[in-house]
Amino acid sequence: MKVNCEQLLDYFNGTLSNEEKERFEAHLVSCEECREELKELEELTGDLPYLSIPEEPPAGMKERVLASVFESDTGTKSHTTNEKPKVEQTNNVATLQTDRKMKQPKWIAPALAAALFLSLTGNVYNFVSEGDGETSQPEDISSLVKAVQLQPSEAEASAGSAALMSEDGKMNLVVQVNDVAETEGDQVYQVWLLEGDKPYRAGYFTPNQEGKGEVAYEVEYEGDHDWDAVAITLEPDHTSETPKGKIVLSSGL
Amino acid sequence: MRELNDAELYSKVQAKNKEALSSLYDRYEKLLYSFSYRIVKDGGLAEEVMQEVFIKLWKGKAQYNEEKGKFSSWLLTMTRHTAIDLLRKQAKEPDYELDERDALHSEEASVEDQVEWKERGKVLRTAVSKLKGEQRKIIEMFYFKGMTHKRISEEFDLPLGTVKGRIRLALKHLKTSLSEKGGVSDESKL
Repeated sequence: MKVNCEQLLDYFNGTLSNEEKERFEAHLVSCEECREELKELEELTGDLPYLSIPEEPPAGMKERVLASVFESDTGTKSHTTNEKPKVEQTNNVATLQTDRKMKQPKWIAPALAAALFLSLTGNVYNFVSEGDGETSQPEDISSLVKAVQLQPSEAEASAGSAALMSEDGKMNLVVQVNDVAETEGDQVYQVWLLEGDKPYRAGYFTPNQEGKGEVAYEVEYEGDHDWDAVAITLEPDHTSETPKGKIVLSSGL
Repeated sequence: MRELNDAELYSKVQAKNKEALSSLYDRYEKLLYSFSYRIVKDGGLAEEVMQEVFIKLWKGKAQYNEEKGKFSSWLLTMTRHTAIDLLRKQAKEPDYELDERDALHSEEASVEDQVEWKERGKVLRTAVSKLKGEQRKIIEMFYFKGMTHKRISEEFDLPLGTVKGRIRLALKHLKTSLSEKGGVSDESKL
């Protein structure tokens, strides 16, 4: 048996290094015996996945998985963790899979306009090419209720926008920020909706290395609410029920 | 409108259609999660496998075409590789205890809405229960734990050159035992 042929099992299991894998695939072209053995292995093991006992997928896994998939495009850190999330997060946060919410031109437009206005001399092209929503065709499914620019609390460079949108009778809050400071440890940026002076949790995020962050949150608080303001604070972790940190960005609604 | 088949959905995913990915996800969530769980034996890790699998699909890091056979088989293989990879990254010795549930016949072990899977699983478990312990173990280590050729030879104290033969034999026994039971159809559309 040639040395190469000995790698068949590891190739089948996907445990070869990339280089070894390429070499083995080249070998496969010329080695009929390996090709046949590989085919046989595939046939013989084809049923084995069904040996798995059906397990009930954890609640909210779809939202978490798809959110992290779509976030992987934007480079924003995912909220998906190993831990079993609390139900509240499971149902509300990171519902980015319905990406129309994120790519809704209607709310991107005011953000763009503001960016153009604020940085006529700046690199608008950057913003446009990274804005991620401008190239896709608008799908007019959700309607914009309100869009605002978020104002930084201090003389910081942070900027952001927030938009409330209704879709199928559900209210979604989409927040996007730029140039916020990095978080440390378990720290997260928590978004709040304020009614009077009462804060309601409205999603959280951690920014990527470029200081960009975004979150879409389905607002599901019982009863009628007339939101007065939206604010973002830096919290020690994602469990704060009321704001502990200072306000980083905010705006009236 | 008729439902799109897997390959059609897949090509839409390649064109970055998020709804297509969501449909594929719905179609395969339970099977892939259960299979991942069977390999990594941990819910959190199994979810991580799901995440990686769907990122690979989305980003086109793993490419499917019809030459590679059925989409479901390809997806299951990709999932298995991802799970094995994650196991290896855990950097701990993989435990290769036999999963006793593989040989259980009890109904509670296979309460499942997807009838075909249930049927298939039942037949498979019966067949597995007929294998010798040694053969079950080698299938477990090779297929579900992705142990290397070398590790298996050490574990079983076998010369490198005979490992492949042993694995093949164990798998063939399983297959024979399956076909005696009336077999498991390859045409299943699970």
